[in-house]
Amino acid sequence: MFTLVIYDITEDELRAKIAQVCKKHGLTRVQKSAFLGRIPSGLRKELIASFRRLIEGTENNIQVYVICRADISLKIELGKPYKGEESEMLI
Amino acid sequence: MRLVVNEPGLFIGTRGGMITVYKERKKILEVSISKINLISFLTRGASISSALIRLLSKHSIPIIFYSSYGTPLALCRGFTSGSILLRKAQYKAQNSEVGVDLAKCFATGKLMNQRSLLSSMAKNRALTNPSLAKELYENSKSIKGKIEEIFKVEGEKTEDVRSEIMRIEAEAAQIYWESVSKALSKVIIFPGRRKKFEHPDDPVNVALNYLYSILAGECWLALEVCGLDPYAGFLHVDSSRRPALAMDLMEEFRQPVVDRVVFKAVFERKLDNAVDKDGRLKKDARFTLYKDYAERMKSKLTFLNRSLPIQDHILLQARRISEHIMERGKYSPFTP
Repeated sequence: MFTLVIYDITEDELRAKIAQVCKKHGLTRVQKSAFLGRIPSGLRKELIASFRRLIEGTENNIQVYVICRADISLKIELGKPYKGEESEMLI
Repeated sequence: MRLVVNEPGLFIGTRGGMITVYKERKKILEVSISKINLISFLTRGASISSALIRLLSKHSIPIIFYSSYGTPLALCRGFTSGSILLRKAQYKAQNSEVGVDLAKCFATGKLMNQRSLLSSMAKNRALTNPSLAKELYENSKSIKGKIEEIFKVEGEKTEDVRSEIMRIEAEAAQIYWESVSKALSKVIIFPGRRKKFEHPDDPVNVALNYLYSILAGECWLALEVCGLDPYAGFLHVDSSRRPALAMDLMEEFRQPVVDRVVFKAVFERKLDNAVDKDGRLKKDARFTLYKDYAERMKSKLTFLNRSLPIQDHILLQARRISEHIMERGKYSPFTP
């Protein structure tokens, strides 16, 4: 299962923290405030728990979608693709 | 994914639960720990922080350090739980028919894969070079004869059958490498198989030795994970300097993993000028070979009705050895 996280956060510091948490749990950035990745459900639950802790009491919004492989293959991307962070060292 | 360190001067540390790689104090990579299953150091002069080692051992991710000839020098992983019953059974199996069965399985597995590689080479050359294709096909048939010879070997201890199996295996290897040498002769000069202690300086042998050593390291790791003693072998003789059981387990993976990768690299002309004057692979060639090898390890093959990446098959085969030793299951050689 794929996990898509999109967020709308006004404070710079908190936004950076949310992005950090997404990366830490193995998601990759697909847009400025959207992360996608194929992670186990346990890790997803952990991710959601950390989000909950971070945005508790603030006026922000985070949405987490769980998408199956058949549906993610229907994705259509238009325009210039977001430049990912690929590295030579990872095989 | 695996993280491969192939450049001196890198610093690998951790920050916020992620693996970070710095080059000249600049962060060049940040990756989640959940995406990595192995870190390998192909070079010297890189440093690693103790905080990262703690994090890796918590997630049971191993680090392997290799020499520039590909020999696995050190394995860094968390303490294993005891598996003393299995180990005792393993030593006992060396003197029983269980061990003889295993030794036969390892040897036949290797020969079957040699045979299938030769026949697939023959198939590819059926139109372009019919005479060579016919010769390869004949040779693959004679290797099949050797497999039947191995089945006929009988004995009560591994010591009794070892020399006989090894003799048949050597004959098959002779046929195999001669055929390979002929098949490669159009592209590169391959003077026949030279092992590491013979210090070859032709690119094919150097590349083969390099990747065999790396594969041996991974088989070693698989055995350790299953709790087996990598030094107590069945086909290979016990020795304090070489992990005999890792060599045993490796036999059936040599052709589908390493040989295929190296021959493909030869035909893609990746090995021209790949060796320096000391008979070592150059840095770039080393990395491209390792990359192809890792790609191959990730590609899925079907064996015993399960389609898995080859690296998972290695782990499963190690587990099957332990099941066979404990007489809970039957080992069958890896022939995809």
